[in-house]
Amino acid sequence: MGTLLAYAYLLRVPLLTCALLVALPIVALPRDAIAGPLLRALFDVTQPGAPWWTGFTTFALLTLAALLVAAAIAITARLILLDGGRRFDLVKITSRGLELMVRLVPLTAAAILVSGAWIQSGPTNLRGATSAVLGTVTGFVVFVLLLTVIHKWLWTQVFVDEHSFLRRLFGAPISLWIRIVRLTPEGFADPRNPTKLLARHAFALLLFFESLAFYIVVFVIKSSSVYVSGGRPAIPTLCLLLLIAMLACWGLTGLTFLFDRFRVPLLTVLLVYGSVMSLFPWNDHFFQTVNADPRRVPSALADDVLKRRAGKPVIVIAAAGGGIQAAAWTARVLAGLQHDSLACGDDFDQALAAVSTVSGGSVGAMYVVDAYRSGRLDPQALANAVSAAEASSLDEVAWGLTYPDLVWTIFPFLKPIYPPFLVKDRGSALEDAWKRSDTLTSATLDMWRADVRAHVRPAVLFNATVAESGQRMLFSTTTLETASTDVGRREFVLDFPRLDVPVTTAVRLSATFPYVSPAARVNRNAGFDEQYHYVDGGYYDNYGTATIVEWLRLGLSKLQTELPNRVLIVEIRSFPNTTAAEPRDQGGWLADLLQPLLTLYAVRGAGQAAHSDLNVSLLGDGGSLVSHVQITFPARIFEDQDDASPPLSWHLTPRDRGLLADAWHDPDVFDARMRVQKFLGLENEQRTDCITR
Amino acid sequence: MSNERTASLGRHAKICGWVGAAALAAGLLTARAGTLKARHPLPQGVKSPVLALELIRNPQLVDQIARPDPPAQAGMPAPQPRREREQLARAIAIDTWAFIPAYTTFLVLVGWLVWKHGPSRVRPLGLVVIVATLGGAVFDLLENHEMLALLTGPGDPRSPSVIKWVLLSLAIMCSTPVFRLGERHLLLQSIGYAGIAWALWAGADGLLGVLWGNDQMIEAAAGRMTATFALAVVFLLGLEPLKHGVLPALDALADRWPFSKLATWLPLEDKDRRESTSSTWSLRTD
Repeated sequence: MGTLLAYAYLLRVPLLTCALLVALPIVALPRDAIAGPLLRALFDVTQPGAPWWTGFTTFALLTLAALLVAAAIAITARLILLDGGRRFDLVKITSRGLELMVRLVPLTAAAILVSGAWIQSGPTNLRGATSAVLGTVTGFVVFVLLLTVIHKWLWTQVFVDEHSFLRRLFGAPISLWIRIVRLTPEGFADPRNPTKLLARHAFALLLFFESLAFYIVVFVIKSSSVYVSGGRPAIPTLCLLLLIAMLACWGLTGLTFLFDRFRVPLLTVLLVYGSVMSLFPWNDHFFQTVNADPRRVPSALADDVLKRRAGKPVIVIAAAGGGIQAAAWTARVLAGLQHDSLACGDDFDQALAAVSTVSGGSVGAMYVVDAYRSGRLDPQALANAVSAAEASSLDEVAWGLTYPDLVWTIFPFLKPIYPPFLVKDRGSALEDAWKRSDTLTSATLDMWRADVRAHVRPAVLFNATVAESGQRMLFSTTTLETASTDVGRREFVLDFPRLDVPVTTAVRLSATFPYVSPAARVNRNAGFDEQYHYVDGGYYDNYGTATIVEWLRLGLSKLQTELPNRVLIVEIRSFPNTTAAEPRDQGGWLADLLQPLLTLYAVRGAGQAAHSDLNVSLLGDGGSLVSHVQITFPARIFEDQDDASPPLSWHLTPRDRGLLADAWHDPDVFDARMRVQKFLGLENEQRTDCITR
Repeated sequence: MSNERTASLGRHAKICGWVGAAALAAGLLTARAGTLKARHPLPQGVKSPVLALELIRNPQLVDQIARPDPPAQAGMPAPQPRREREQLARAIAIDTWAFIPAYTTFLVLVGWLVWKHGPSRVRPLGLVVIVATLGGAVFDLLENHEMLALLTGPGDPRSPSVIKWVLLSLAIMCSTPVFRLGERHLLLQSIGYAGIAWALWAGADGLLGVLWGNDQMIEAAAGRMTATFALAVVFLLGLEPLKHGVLPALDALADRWPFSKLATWLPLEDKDRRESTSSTWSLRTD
């Protein structure tokens, strides 16, 4: 029993990697799966209508990646079972049955994972099925070739042929490894001849190099990836995550094999390494800034923006957060309201004065505000904005995590070699993915600020949160004239008067969804100074109402004349309004331990919603000219669905897109649309049937 | 235990285990058929629509369990019909023709195993298992009949259902000696102890749920009974192959086709090149 437990401990990395392969589809795919809203998108690897070769390469790469993880598990586990006895002074347990298990279990785990992708992506026609089948078979064949023919050739090149290029290429790392092994050869050396290295360790090292080569090949493919309709790259997110699992299995098992002999826990090794690396000032996440034009246009004041609609109706938007669901819903609502307005002969786009957005809502609003051309919403650009807001960005986040973030985490000292590396991470990858229009590729807040001044674009207020102080940080093209004494709010343009940021960067900081993108700080002095880190605006106010209410109050209080004749706050909420959570049966010390955190989380949701409603209603009180409409994603849409959870990642499945389209025609949403159009055209009472469902 | 008795127990356990596996499959099929497309709140706070129907306290609550089709709204496309009553009727039919016969056979076989191979002091428990199971199955059929009636008119499935849960809870609790049969090494012994714990927990939940009129406890008992079934199946099917422990069992498996091929497939080291490797990068420091 003791030996068994000892081996289970020594095998913890391969066992956990194997468990990850099996657990991922189980926690992601079934209906109401615990991590379904967050992880289901990983398995949605193909897109209907994509070219045949996209499905083929997707399944080929996915299968190959899963099998290479299985190989990493099998080979590392086998080394521990065969040589752990000598290295850790344990009874050696080896048998033909274990030889079978080290192959069968990881292979089965890989098969379960690939099956998960098959189930979720579900090829629906012959074309899709053939690409998936051929892709899976090709991935398997390449794997077998890698472990047999290619591996034998590599062996000859690296270990036999003394003059080969590969021998010179791999000579340095292998020599370094040999030097480490010489310090502690137990378990590495052949027991019959202690001066000789066991061939199986050389075999494992070579396969590790092959895995690294695959990691680099995927990087090259991804870097030059072809985008298909909807902006889907050819490397699936799941494949990229498998690459991390593969490298983690190799690397961490190597560390445990080295250090377990000295009873040094793996976590200690990682903590020490992490602590040392954190001494480098570049071991942080930075966001891109550009030097502001010395002749920059100052931010428009709220009253300046409102004044241009003197005597006319004004609409302001508060768009809530919630990942891609919020992005897609916000874009769809704004585009839909413009469509309604055109049908009714109104000017929604010109009445729109300001947009205060949070997290995913910022992404959707960004695309819509970008669609302004000479003061009006361009119909074609608006249609593209809705598609862009619904397009997946998950693969880019995974790419950023797998490549720049992984490399910088292990070798942060490499970052300053090339200054642009400082701002390259999964956050910047997300920004790059969002640059889906020519205008967004180069747009900065200063450019949009000038447009607000010229009355050709509404003002935007992207809400982020300062991680250190808990304050709201506004990336905006209008100003609330925040003073240094204001405790609840900061403005980027006032904190950094000489800096400008790309619009996508401002939106990314507003939409720093926990863990998906990192908290980031401004890039100044190569990290050798102390700066605030910015995170998702939803920590402070997930509804965007706090900022828009303050902005309106400021603007309206300053205007004595030239007031708009009425103001409408349109609140866009991307998730159904939730009822209070049910009481739960929980107790014990674990509940005691977690209770403060869980309460904080619950209060964040309930408190923010209550305060948001209160702020908006207070502004509308006392005969004010301000009224409000809430356009909420209707709960009714989920009533007859298998899974009542909207997506929480940066990816929408075809089902999610269908639900978003259905939601626009929901009766409650229709009523809200009618109220907006009635507000715009109050003078014209005949307008009741210009909107169609 | 004599070799002959051990072999006989192994054979019987194997048959019983496969019947149990079939019962589990039938149970999954029934559960899947009874899972409605959209989850909605059910009476008494239970989660399974079939269970809510069988434990229904007021026939007027049927619409809350199997909701009628949504009404069409002016100007909107016609909503998809839910057909929840039809779906529940189908689940009840699968339960009647597949799950009830399968679990009855399995539990009767378990009772017989306890009677035939158990120590003399626990043998009567085997008889209790058989009688309670057969009684439970009869009331389960009655309950299904009442449920079908309730979907189309008046019916009272709760009365037979409550008696069924009492009998099945009793059967499950009395079947625990089956987890102590045969030679058991570490793995089997662990599965056996887990099986006993789950069986007692399931039975206690079921009996107390009926006693206190707590339908959520009865639902919890149903889940634990399924887990007990699964543990019993693994235990019974593993009794023969695992009697000498896990490693010998794995070795035996590795000698069978196609596992014999897989055990050596894709060599994980290259023995032929051992010499060349070691001569190239020696661990010698001089």
